[in-house]
Parts: sequence; C-alpha cells; structure tokens
Amino acid sequence: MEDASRFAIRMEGITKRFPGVVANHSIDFSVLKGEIHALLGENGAGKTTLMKILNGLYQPDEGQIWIDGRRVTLRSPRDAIGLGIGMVHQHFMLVESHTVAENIILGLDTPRFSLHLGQVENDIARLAERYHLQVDPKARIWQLSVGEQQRVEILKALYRGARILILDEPTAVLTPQEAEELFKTLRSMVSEGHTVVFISHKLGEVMSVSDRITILRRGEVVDTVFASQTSKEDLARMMVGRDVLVRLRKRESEPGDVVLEIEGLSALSDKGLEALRDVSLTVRSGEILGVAGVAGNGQRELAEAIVGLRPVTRGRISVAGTDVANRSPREVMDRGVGYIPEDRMGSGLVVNLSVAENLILKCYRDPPVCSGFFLDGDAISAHAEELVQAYDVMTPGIDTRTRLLSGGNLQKLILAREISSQPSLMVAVHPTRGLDVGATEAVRGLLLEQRDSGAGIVLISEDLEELLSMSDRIAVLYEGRVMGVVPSEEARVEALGLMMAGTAAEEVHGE
Amino acid sequence: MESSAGRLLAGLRGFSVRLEPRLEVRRWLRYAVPLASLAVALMLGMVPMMMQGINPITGYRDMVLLAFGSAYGISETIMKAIPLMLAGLGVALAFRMLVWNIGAEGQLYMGAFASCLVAYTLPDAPAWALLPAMVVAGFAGGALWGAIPGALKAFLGVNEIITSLMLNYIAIQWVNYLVIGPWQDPSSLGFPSTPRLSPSATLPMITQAWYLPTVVFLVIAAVVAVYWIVRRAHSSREKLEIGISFLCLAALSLGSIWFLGGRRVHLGLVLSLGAAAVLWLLLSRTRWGYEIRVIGENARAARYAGMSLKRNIILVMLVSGGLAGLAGMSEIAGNLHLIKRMFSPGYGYTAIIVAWLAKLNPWGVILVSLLLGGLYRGSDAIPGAPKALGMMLQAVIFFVLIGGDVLVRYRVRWGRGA
Amino acid sequence: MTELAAFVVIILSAGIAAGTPILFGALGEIFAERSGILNLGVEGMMLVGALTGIVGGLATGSAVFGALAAMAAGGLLSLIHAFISITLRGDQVVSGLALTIFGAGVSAFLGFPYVNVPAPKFSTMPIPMLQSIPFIGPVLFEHDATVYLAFVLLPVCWFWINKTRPGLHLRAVGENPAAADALGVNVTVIRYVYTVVGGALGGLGGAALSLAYTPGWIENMTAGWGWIAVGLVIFAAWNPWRAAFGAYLFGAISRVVFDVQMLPTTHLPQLVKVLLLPEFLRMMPYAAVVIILIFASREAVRKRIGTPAALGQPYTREEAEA
Repeated sequence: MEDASRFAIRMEGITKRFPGVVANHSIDFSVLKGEIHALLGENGAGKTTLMKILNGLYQPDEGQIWIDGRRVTLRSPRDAIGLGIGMVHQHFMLVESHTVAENIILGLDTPRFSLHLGQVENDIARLAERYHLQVDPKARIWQLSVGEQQRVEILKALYRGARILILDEPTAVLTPQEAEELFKTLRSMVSEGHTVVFISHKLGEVMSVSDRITILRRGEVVDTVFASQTSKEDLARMMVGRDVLVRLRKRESEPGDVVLEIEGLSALSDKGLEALRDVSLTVRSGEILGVAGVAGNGQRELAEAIVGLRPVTRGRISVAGTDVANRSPREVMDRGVGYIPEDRMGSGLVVNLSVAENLILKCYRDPPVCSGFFLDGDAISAHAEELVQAYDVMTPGIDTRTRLLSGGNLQKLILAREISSQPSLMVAVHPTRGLDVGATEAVRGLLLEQRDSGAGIVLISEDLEELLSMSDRIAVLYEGRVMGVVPSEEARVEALGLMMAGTAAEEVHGE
Repeated sequence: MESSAGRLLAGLRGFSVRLEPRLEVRRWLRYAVPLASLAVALMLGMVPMMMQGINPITGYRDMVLLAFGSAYGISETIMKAIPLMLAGLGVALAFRMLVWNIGAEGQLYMGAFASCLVAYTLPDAPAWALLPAMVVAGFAGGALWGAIPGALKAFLGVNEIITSLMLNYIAIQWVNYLVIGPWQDPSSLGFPSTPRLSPSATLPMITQAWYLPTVVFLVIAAVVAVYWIVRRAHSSREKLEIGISFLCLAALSLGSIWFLGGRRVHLGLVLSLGAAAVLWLLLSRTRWGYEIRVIGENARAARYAGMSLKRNIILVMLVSGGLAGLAGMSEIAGNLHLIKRMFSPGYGYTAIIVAWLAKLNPWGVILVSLLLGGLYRGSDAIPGAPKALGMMLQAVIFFVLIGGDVLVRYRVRWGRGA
Repeated sequence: MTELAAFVVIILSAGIAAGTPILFGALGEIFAERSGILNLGVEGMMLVGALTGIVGGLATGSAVFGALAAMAAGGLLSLIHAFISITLRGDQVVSGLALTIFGAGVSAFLGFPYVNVPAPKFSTMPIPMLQSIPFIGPVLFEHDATVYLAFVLLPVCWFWINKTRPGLHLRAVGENPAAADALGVNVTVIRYVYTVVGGALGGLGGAALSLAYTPGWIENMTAGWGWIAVGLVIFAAWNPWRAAFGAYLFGAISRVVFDVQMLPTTHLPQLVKVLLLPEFLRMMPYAAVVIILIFASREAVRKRIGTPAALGQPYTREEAEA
C-alpha cells in the first residue's frame, strides 16, 4: 500500500456465508477517494451482499474493513452512517405512509424529542437545491414517482453527511434519460469530494460513468480495471466467465390469428389510483409483443387484468374472440392463457408444497389428476416425473419441498406447468429477472419455442436488451398509457427511452 | 424511554442470537424436541404449584395416577378427550387455511343446543332415527354459528379472530337463558339444568356386545384391504402401509372394546376417530383438501389457480364449526345427558392448543387430545382450583413447544458481533 | 327533562368508569401493534394484572402499589410473547392466544385463595372546583384515580406516537422495519419495548378493574373485556382518541344494559320482556363489538385506512438473502 489515505474504502478477505451458499468468498475490494467505482456482476454474484456488509447490515464471517485508512468494525447501519457511508438500496427503504422529511430524519438524534419539522424541511429543501434533487419535503412517499423516491433516498444519505454513497442498481427503475440525470448528479457529487460506488449489471452505463470497475463472479473478485482501459467485450467475458453469445437464434415470426385483443382498457392500482388508461393492444399467434416501461407504469396491472386477477373498470379484453374482462382467473385460464408471474415465490408457486403438488396447480380439477372428488396420487406423480424430465428441472425428487430449489429451477417449474397446459396466449412478467445466464438462456429459449409453435406471447420486461432481442413488436407503457407500438427491428434504445419518459411515438419519430 | 432502554441493552449490543433456517430438518429432532419441551414445561409448571403450597412431585404423581393409573382412570380421560378431539379437528381444519377460528367454544354450545332441540321436540322418536338426527343437528348448529364469522370475513373482511370469540360469549349466554328459562327442568332448582335426555337420545356406551358387529365390520374391511393390496397398490411400500393400517384398526377396535367395554366411554369416541379419518382423507387425498392446503400456504397462488377464497373460507368455517358442534352434541348426548350452565370447562379453547400441538394433523389431534384429556382428568387430583391448573399447564406446554419448534426449524447461532 | 339529564349523566359517567379498564388495554395494544407486534394476549394480561393488583394491594396495603405490581406482571407476561414473536419468530396469533389461555389459567389457579377477599381499592376522588361544573363535572370529574390517569395518558400517548422522535421510530418500525433498520433504528429493541409497555398497560387495565371498577378478585373477571380492547384497536384505526371513544361507548353500553334490567317490564310485550332478560342484555356488548367491527372494516376499505404494514410479521435482516 503506497498511501493508505488515498483509499476511501478498503475491504480485505471478506467472506460471507448464508445457509447453503457462500455469497462472498475472500473478496478484496478498494475504492479511491473521489472516484465513481462500479461493482459489476451478474445477479447472484454477491455485489449486494458485499455492499450490505459495508453498510453494516450484514456482518462478514471473515475479513477486515478500512474506511479512510482506519480499521473499522461495522455492526449496524448506524456505525456505517457514523463513518459517512450511505446506501441507496435497490428496493427503496422508505416508509410509504410517512412524509419525505419524516423519512429523512428517521434514525437520527436531532431533533431529539419533539418533532417540529419546519427547520428540517428547510434544510432538506436547501440540500435538494444544491444537488439538483428537487422533491417536496412535506409530500408523503406513496404520492411520489419512483424517480422522486430515489432522490429521497439519496437526500437521506446526504442529509446524514455521507461522503461515501453506495447505490444498488440505481438505474433499474429509471428511464435512460432519468438515468442520465442521475449520472450528472453523481458526477457533481464526486466533484464536491464525495465517493460513489454503484452496483450494476449493465455494461453500457458502467463504461460511460465509472472511473474504475470491479467485476464479481460467483462471490469472487475477477478483476478491478480502469474504465478507460477496457471494453464492453472484456467486461462481459469477465462477468459471465465465457464469451457471451448475445444473439438469440430467432427465426422470422409468422403471425397468425389474433389471440388477444385489448380495447380501451382501464384499471385501478392497489392504492385505488388509475393504473391503466385506455390501453389498446393486439397480439397474434406466433408473435411476441414486448411491453417496455419504467417500473410502476402499469405493467403489473396490465398482466393481472389480462389473467383475471385484477378488476377492470373499463374496456374489453378478448382472448380468442371472447371477452374475458372481469372474469375469474379460472375462466381466463380455461380459455388457454398461461401466466408467468413477476414474483415466483409469491404468486407463482406454493413453496412449502412439493414439486409434484406445485405442478398440478392448474390442472388439479381435471382428469387424470382428479377423478370426481379424489386426487389420483399416481397420476400426479406421473405428471410431475414427465414435466421434470422434459423441462430439465434440477430437483432431488418430485416430493421435494419447492422452497429448496434454486431460482432458475423455480422458474423452469412454472414454465413447465404453464406450457404443459398448451396455452394459446402466454403472459410473462420479468421471466428472467434474477436468473443466471444459463437459466436466462433456457427460459428465453422456451418462450421462443412457444412462439414458434404458434402461441401469442406478451413479454413484460424492464430489460430493454431482452425486449429488443426477444420481441417482434414493442409497446411502451407510460403512466398506464400506451405511448406507441414499434416493430423491434426499427426500434432504437433512445427512442424507446423517450417514450418510456412520456413522449408519444409520433413525436419521437417526428424529431 | 427508548434511549434509556437502549442504554439498558447497551451491554447486549453486538451480542446476538441468530436463527438460521435449516434446509433439511433432522428426523430425530422432530421427536426429541417435543419430548424435551414437554419435560421442560412440566418443570416450569412446578413453580405455580409450589406457590400454592403443593408438592409438585407428589402432585404430578397423583395427576398421572388419576388420569392413567387405572382402567377407570383411562376411560375417564378418554371421556374428557372426546370433545377435545372433535373440536380440535375443527380448529385444525380452519387453521390449515389460516382462518383463525377461535370460536370453537361457542360452536360447541350451539351444537349442544341444536341437538337437544331435536331431542326435546321429538321425545318419542326411536334411537335409530333420533341419534342420527341429533348428530346432523349438532353439526348444523355449530356450522351455522361458525359460518357467521366466516361470512363476515369472506364478504366484508371483518377480522374473524375477534368476531368468532365474541360469538362464544353470546352462545354461552343463549344456553344460559335456555337452562334457566324455557328449558329448565322444574325439579332442578338449586343447580338449574334441562331435563334428562330420554335413553333413545343418548349415545350408547361401548360394551362387550359390540364385539359381534365390530368383527363383522373388520371382516369387510379385511376384504377391502386385500382387494386394495392385490389390485390397486403400486409399490410394496403402499401394500405394507395398507396392511399395517388394517392391523392397527383391528387391534385398536377390538382392544378398546375389551378394555373400555362396560365403562362410560360412548359412541362419541368412534365418531371422533371417524372424523379424524375423514379429515385426513379430505386433506391429503381430495381436491378440496388440496385447495385448503394451497390457500393456507399461499393465498395469492391459490387465487391465480382459480380457487375461490370466499367460498373456501365459508366452507371451512362451516365444517370447522360443525365439528365443534359435534363435540357439544357428543358431550351432552354421551356424557352429561342434560345441559347445565357452563357445561364445557373450556374444551373449545383447549381445542386451539390441541390443534396447534398436533401440528394441525388429524391423527396428531387424537393423540394430543388424549394427553390433554389426561391433564383435565389428572388435575382433579390437585386441591384448590384444579380446572385452572389444567389450563395453566396446557398453556405452559404450548409456550415451550412453540419455542422448541424453533429449534427444529432453525439452527441457533450465538455470537458476539460478527 | 331533568330526570332524563340525570340519567344521561349517570350513563356517561358510568360509561367512562367502565370503559377505563378497556381503554388501558386498548392503548397498550395500540403501542404493540404500531410497532408491528400483534398481541392477542390482552385478556390474559388483564386477568393476571387484576389478580396481581389485588395481591400487591394486600401485601403493601396500597392500591397504588397494587397497580404498579399489576403493570409489572403484565409487562413480564408480554415479555414471553415478545420473546416468542420477536426473537423466535413464532406465530404471533398463536402465541397471543396461548398467552390469554395461560393468563386465565394461572390467575384462576393462583387466585383461588383471593376470591372475594376485601383488598385496598381506588376510591372516588371528586376534583374540587371542576366537579361543580354542571353536567360536565359529574360526568368527567367524579371518578377514581385510574380514570384520571387515563385522561392524562390519552393526550400523552397521542403526542408520543405522532409528534415525537421515539414515536416516529415506533411508527416506522411497524410500517417498514427494513427501512428503519437500514437507518440504524434498532427494530428488535423497539418491538420489545413497546410490547412490554403494551403488556404493562394491559396489566394496569386489569388492576383498574379489580382495584377500582369492580373491586375484588373473581375468577375470569374480565369476561372478554381484553378481547373487546383488541377489537377496539381495529375499530380505532390505531388512534388513541378513537380508542377512547370506543372504550367509553362500550362502558356506556354495558352500563345501560345493567340499568335496563331495573326498569319495570310488566306492561311490555312478551318478546321485549324476553329480550330484556339479563342473559340477553349481557350479550349486547359482545354483539356490539361484532357490529362495530363490521362498520369499521367497511370504513377501512373505503378510506383505505391501513393496518401497520408490518403487523404480525417477524423481521429479520438476512431472510431476504437466505
């Protein structure tokens, strides 16, 4: 070490184990003062775990940490804040029913007892102005957009005097334009002497924003490189561990009959606000309609409305010619609709039941699984054995409790169940989120196979690259409206980004 | 306040107990922990006994002797266990779906009321008609009483915990009204009660005369079992299971007639065992049981699979309440033969503990009921407020077992800091 | 007219007296639930509090010390619940039920020698000056010390929860423990503290019953009032003022029920006469809880009043990853 004081953060030999996995294995990681340092890696590479250790949320099983050259032990986030470390989590840590100011002063010592928030609100407003992070201190969190909530998170860290700011996948919830704004803010912070660590798996933004990049793979550091001395290809190879074939073997699509026609659809969100406004879309058999948009712009509501999980306030949803709006999920399912929900563990699977029992979730009423009132154990086992084989689900056995399977295998289980019902329409929401490269390829392959065999697919994703490579046409949702539908060969990332930020397709193309 | 508490706990700062979920639960732990928990609970139970000046060692000895020390004691224990079994099965069913029916006590009273209503309106009916009618009425009475909180939860989202509990108090007052009002036996002045049920309205006791019909029944069962083993069973394990089940059934039924014949144990025992068998079949082998398990584990997945939560909540509350109603019916028609005020010593509440200790498993409910029935019976050996001692010990066992359960599911790590 | 006014004064004043034990229980439950811990053991804690109040009062000769002992006992009992639901991450519904059964059992068992034993009690202390205000005086200011304590506690609780930093942390822990934890708020300590505070208030509610409202110990003397307190918290949407309104309303109902029994019934029709029998009148408070909960849940749906978002859910940092 030439000069210890050059480092804002130095972590050595960090190991963290969770039951059944080693999330971080003997990691060395250091960040220079005043740099933007990217932590790059696939899902599950251990980036978030490492940063949660730095933030005091997790305690490492082994290893040492220095902050500004001083050896420290971080037992809680309070310790981290004391050392000037602030973290913006991927899932925002905000109390929805509280105001911005209340969220920002949560956990602090001043004001000590009685909460007169006037002074605090002024301070917040001043801070917000200095860093171009405009937000109303009196607003309640649930009233804010996702971008504004992120600003609150950053303000929270700055208000605590954080000099080292950690951001976990900050752009996942932003439009490309909003992301650009964020990067401007980060650069201005660095120029004021702050240090920024940001976690990402997007090569493009990592290359353009950061000074140095540390690549993690399967809980280990692959290398730390200067952004100026590397290339996307190198980074990708280091991240994945082999050359990546980004191109999917995708055949020309052969669209057939209309399988889904949505007309003038409106629906409410859980909070009772209008989440879908006058949405009209068409999907033909043998094509994939991608739905792009920043998180929380109505994608979830759209999927739920189609499969019957959400009441519709206006409009029609016809599946193969019959209107299924406001029908029960059962009726929709019976018309040949498959669904890959966003939260696998939450609504896709019953994790405490066995693999076999999960595979009959859609067909438990029908022969051969069910005869009359009784279930047929043999038929259930046979059904499960067949699907586990066909879809290459790695499981110790069909009686294994589902919670013991890995994320990729959980998703394959859902796909197996949904595809085996031979749907004419498949609604897939973030089907590859959180999966490693192998599982992602498998899932995408299965979806394309479905398309080629004549199913219509609605693919909702926040990953623009996934949408561009998988879909035949892409629709963009913004605040519950369709901003336009473009064929994916003609789509450009910038144009999609503008639409995701609320510019109508005609205007985008008019420029 | 908070900061002073923080200072108080400053010594504990950095010292942590961490629970790590076990991926695979070790088999021996599943049996060792409950047994150890029981031992710990009984030791904790000694404290209040000593506070009352009772020698806990002789106290426990007397309790065990009274409950299990003689054939008579055991038969009396079974008498206490019968209502626990039926109500416990009901509670277990509801809890399986995470419907918190804690109104078993009230449903039990309403079941007793409804079955007696039938008995008193049809005083001359023969036993073969009257008893089934009373069973149906008892089930219906409890079912309807259980359906009220069920419907309120399903349609209006009203918290069923509070409503089912409030209905307990209402049901008890209703029965009180009958006992000292329109149904009062004029000759029961000092201690009001309804008139005695006619012999044709009481559940027959188990006697030696049952051997013959039981043997006939077992022969039929044997034929079915052999058919099943030869024709339907696919694996040798399954064949073995069927064979063992049959032998258990035979040994249990003949053994109980031999042991209990001529004592006070009544048909309610058969009713309970039958209910457990039906419930077990229902949960593990039927479509509806599958729905209940899926809803209990993950209501969102259930909704997506097209299961109706509302319908199932009401159905489950109907059956759950109905089983508790049967408990009331069998207690009146089998044991007491008349209704008194507050005739249940909290069976409906103990049923909650029974269900939970049994891990919501129907056969477990039978076993735990026998244990807690023994506690009810045995605590009569203690002077003072014996019923209360029973309740208290139940709760202590319960607490310790909840704690013990954690040891089964998690690995406990103690450590300072890291 | 004056007779009617006098009747109203009696009902209101008695309603406040009868509602006070329930109110303590409900305030305690509001604290616990605001921190995210559902404690269904209020009935048990009130019973143990009621007995401990008597025992403590007899031992020290002072009702005040009796009440303090009751608070300690309630707090201790809720510590079991806190340990099971916070540290062991057990099921809070089930643990709370066990607490109620335990409280009922242990108080009945240990209380056996104390049944109907005369003990110290809080006697009525009219407040000089204020008591002579017409109408308001007799309704509000002719009570015992527990009632006045509740009057003081109400605004304090409200202020504490909504206008102070500890209150902010309490609310945050109940709404989003992960967010609070990420900012260095100790979720475990806060949940323990407020569960125990809730238990102490539950114990105080029991003491208010056995040392003030209906002096003396009888087995199972709370008769479901602890459960009514739990139900009231839902009705009150976790707001102390609404809880007070509800508790006093129930107090009034149970008192009206008592008074109606005294009315002459000879000239009334048979059906009404039956309904005015004590057994039916005693059903009224419980039926009222059911009815009021129906209305409360409809209102909650309409106004989207939320339960504390993390209510009943154990919190652990590492679960997300594991």
